[in-house]
Amino acid sequence: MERVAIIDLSTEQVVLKNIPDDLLRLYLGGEGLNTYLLYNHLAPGTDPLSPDNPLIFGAGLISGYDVSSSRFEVTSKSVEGEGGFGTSNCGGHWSAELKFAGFQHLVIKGKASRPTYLWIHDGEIEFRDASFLWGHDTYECQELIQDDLGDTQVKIAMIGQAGENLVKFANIMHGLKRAAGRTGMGCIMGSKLLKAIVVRGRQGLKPHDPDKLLDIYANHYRQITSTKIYPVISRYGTLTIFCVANQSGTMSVRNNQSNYFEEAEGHLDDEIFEEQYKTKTLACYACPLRCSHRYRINSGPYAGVWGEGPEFYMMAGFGPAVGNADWELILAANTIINRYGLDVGSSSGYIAWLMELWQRGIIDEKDTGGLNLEWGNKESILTLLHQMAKNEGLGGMIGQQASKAVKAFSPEAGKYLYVQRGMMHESPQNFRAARATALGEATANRGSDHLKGRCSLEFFGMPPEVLQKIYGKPIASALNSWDGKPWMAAWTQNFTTVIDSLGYCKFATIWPGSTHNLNYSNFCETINAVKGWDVTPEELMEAGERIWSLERLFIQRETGALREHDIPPSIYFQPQPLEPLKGEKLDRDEYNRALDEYYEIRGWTREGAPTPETLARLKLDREPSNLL
Amino acid sequence: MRAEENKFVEQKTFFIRAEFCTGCGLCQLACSMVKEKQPNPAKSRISIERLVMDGLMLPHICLNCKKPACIDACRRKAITKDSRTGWVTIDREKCNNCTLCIAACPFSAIVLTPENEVLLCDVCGGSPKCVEMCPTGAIQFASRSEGVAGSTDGAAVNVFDS
Repeated sequence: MERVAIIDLSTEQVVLKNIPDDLLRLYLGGEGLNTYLLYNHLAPGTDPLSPDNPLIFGAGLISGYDVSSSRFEVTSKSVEGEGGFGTSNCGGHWSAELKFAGFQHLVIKGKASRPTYLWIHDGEIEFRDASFLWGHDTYECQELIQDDLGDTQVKIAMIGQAGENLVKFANIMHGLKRAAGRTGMGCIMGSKLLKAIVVRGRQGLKPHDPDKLLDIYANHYRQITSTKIYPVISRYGTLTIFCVANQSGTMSVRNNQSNYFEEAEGHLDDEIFEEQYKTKTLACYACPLRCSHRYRINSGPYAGVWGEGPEFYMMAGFGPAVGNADWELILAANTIINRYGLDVGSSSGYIAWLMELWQRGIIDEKDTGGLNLEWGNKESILTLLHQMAKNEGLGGMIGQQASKAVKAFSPEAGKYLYVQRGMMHESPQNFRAARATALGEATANRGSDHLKGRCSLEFFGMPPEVLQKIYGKPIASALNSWDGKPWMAAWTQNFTTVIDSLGYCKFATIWPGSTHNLNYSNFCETINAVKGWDVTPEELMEAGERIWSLERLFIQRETGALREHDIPPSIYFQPQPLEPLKGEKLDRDEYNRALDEYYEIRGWTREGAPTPETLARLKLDREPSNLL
Repeated sequence: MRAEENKFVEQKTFFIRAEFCTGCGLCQLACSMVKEKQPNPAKSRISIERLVMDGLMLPHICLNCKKPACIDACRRKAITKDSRTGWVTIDREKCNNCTLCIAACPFSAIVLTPENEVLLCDVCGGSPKCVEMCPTGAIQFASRSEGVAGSTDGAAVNVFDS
């Protein structure tokens, strides 16, 4: 029986509850059950930084059971952006360990009276003093905790100084690089004076049919390791996306002013990283994809810098987006943001914005405190990161204000800030040419979210027959056609939501564009062997839809912002300046028609709210049902 | 003398290539599912020491020593080495979980479960699931006399240059 622990930091009390099977089947775990818990435990209108805002951790339903099932979700009312739905997914070893420790979900309420960390081991939950950890970065924090507990094998989710100092885009970090980023989950953790959640689990999981599960597990292993994407992703990880994205003209260069970064050629690519900096390949729990890398810089101005990562996002965000073609700066910045626990997307996005303001003369040295914000100025980039985490100077102001920082400058500045739902336009790529992806990202519940809305199969010009087979409806092969794309966007959002609820890694599924990877039918095999249910792909798809619509209800309740916030940033409606894909842009009328179609598919009104019929169909009419 | 009599005795055992270990624990998951019918790394016959800060992942599994220290340490003669296959196994009927073998093993290859039960790898009768499930070849099962191909020596490179 899966359990949730309701932990009150104010009173240091814990209540344990078993999750009823029918509720589990409706919401699965991870993102799904987290959303249920948030909707039920948060009093409407609660301030995100109030002790009453619950911070909810959830391991996936099948985390620990299957290949690549390493992921957990952190959910709360967002503190970044406009206070809507806050959620983030993170890999590593923490999720499975939480399951082995006897819990699937943690609901953390209240605020500790002193810096605290939670020590969760084999069914026990202890509140421990974290005064000696406060002020330390994530690298130091881990070593100190290992010493404090006398155990080097603990798994730790923690905040760095960014979370302590309430930076609006602070992450919760795990290991040296694993991050639950976006929507300021680390900031909320900091506001509760909760430094870390340390987990050690040695209890076994009890699958319904262990023999079948072993077969399924071996089959999934063979399936994942025999795809065409496997040799690439296991060697380069997400870095391999960089050259493809750049050469296909979808890169954000200098805050989206251009879509191809010529300076990157011969300087920024995955092979150079492997040859010059990579020291070790690492993996998340039970994952053969091993996409994580250690690195070390041996000479030059950043000699001695080491760390883990970086991902494509880091490479693009601190590369073309800020006009930089130096790998070593990217690695140095990566170490800094991981130690502080800053979000890569927001921090690089705001720096890119400031640099465009500098380029256009909208801000000068008086605004920057003397920093020279020319494109690619390495010293200034790193200084801004330090300032953000420590809440000092211009960077500190950005970190505290996020998108509201626009008020600090002249009105002209807002023209170049590409935000949606108050969230920095996330992806350092720009998908205005890709219609399903543009729509899928813009309608994502946390705003501008490539991890929910990116329809990777859209980019490969696949034959209509293949697309029909996967999506069950006719989808146009052409990137810039709208035909079938609203369905593709909704389908993908449901799919990614199911993945994040089950705890699988998206890269082990068909999501990144590998059609032979895990799909709904494979998920069903595992779930049914683990739980003894008879789940079908249709039921899972509906679960994804249910969770998605509950998130929508949450946004409606907390912000009231629906249709008007489902529009991509203004840059999407301006033509791309460079080949390839030169001249591509979204057309407002076409976009609005697609949005209508998308709402219709979802069973929402033209304003973007779920209709009563949809709520009844998805069994959401009973919420909040307060069953946990 | 016939040709086959000139061959060395064929015995297979595990070879650990720690530099290839990513710390994923697929081997542990496979082992605990085969042996215990449950996903539980703590009951796997393999343990992985994860030195997170160093990025070093150290898998420990029984190497079927030529002269096993665990056998000498066991007072109940519960551990034996098969003279033909060379495999070292534990007789759970005789074992009283005293853990002397764990203290004696120089390779940290014997596991103590949360319930204080002593576990030792039995090579799954010669086709170990963990090896099948290792994506990088960090754990291999090969002939003792042939070993596994490739250098395991990263330390000697450029020592005097750097």
